[in-house]
Amino acid sequence: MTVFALFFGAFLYERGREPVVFAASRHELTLAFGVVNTVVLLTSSLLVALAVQSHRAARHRRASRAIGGATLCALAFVMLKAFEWGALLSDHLDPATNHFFAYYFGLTGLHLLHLVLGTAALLLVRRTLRRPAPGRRDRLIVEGGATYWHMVDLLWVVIFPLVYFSST
Amino acid sequence: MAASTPRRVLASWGVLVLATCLSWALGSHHDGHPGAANAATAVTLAIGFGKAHLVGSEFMELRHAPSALRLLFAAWILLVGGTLIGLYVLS
Repeated sequence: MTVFALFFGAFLYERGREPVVFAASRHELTLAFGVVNTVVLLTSSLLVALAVQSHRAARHRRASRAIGGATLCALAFVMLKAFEWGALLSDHLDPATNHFFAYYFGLTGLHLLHLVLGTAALLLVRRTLRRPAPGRRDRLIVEGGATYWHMVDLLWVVIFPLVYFSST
Repeated sequence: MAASTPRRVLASWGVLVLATCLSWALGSHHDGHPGAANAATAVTLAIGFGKAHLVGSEFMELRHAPSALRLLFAAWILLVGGTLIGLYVLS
């Protein structure tokens, strides 16, 4: 989280040095992608939080279904990100275009890497929940995986206004 | 302190989605005075850190964590959020 915080600071520092480039580049982004992806990630976090509560109540099948829903949200996020990046790259806007796009691809790429690791954690949590009698160690896997997933969500809710709005 | 319930996390999700829509509305208008647009953007950053705090408190259940951990998380939000909004306003 501290690495991300430094990255956020560097982005705003560069924006202060090149306000015109950042403002023009930000208008090349499609805001709807950012908004929809935010709602998708928030929904995934809701499902993960509900899954943890179901797991504590020993309703493991219900918890497993909620984690399955959260995993689908994660896949939707990756697909939308692929469309968003694809549209930019087809317009020849890539990390080498200028500092804005270097930070945009760097920040969203680093976040995507964490999201993919988080998706692997969700799959592990789902497998754990399907065991006949989850034990104490399994509870740590469920709660640890859930916390990691919420961190991915937490970072995104800061990246969203930073990337999509702060260059105006 | 009240335990987390499905109703409570659902209400938190509702607040987070509404806050996202508010940021969208604030960040989409750039036709007015530049000062007003900058203020609106600073507010969208503040909303982002408010949302991050809500995700931590309610979804990560940090509001049930020991006070030292809660304070550390609040300090991260205030320090990073305050520094970034300061950088945005001053640059």
